[in-house]
Amino acid sequence: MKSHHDMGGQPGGRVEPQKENDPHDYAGWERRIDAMAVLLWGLKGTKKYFTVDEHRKAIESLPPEAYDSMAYYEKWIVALAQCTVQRGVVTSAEVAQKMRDVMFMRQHHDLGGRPAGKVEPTEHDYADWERRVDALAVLLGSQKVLSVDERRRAIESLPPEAYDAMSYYERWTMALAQTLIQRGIITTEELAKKMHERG
Amino acid sequence: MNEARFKPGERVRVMKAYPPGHIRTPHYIRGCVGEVERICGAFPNPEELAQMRDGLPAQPLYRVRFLQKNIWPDYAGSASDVLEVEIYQHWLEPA
Repeated sequence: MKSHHDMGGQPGGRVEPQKENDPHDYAGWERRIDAMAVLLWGLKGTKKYFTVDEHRKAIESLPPEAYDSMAYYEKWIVALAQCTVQRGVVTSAEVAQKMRDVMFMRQHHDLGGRPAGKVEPTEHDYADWERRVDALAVLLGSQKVLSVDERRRAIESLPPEAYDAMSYYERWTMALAQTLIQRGIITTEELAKKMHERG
Repeated sequence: MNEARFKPGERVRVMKAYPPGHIRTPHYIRGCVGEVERICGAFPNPEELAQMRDGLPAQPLYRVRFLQKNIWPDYAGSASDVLEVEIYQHWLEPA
């Protein structure tokens, strides 16, 4: 699965080279966002609140249409909000208060009120792997290793095209992997190795 | 636990905001005005639980009743049809 931001080798438009006497000038808010990020990264001897890589990960997790429609420093703002909430510097409630009526985006999974087809209520049997994924999630929950809300957050963070293409328990599997990595219970290296073994 | 700010029967507006993370307030209801139907209790804030924190102090949770015609611009049903949504206190303000 290719990440949307990872554009190397993709067909694209022409890059306009910057003219020597016409440097891009940054707006005041862009400079402030940049300064804030550098401070929060702890690069200038200040307290480190999160790493450059966490910030990058937040930018790369933006839904593709948001990623494409936002300016460079707009992506930085959204990523700063994400990282500061994740690190407990601010709460999502505080961000909501400050950003109210400013930016209003629907998360892809939040489908209430959207036009949709008829719901077909059918019984279906679960595959063994689905039962195992469910059991694993319930066990991790009952052992207080992972909360339901963490899992939901990981599911809701899936890129829209992945969200739509995956089945219910495929999303659970991805979310469990994501949260186990975040909790430091497994590493990305271990996961990559297992997925490589399995083909 | 945070004290309950609203009583049943009070009118409340849902905050219109898009903070990052796992949010239990549905998108379609943000910005709408309704009436507190009941207080459901207080629970750890799921937005904080989703970030691996304890979500304390517990947030009061309300069941809020909205008129369907106030939610959907083209609602064709009865004018008295309602919809109830459970919403945490920090998403509500007096209306």
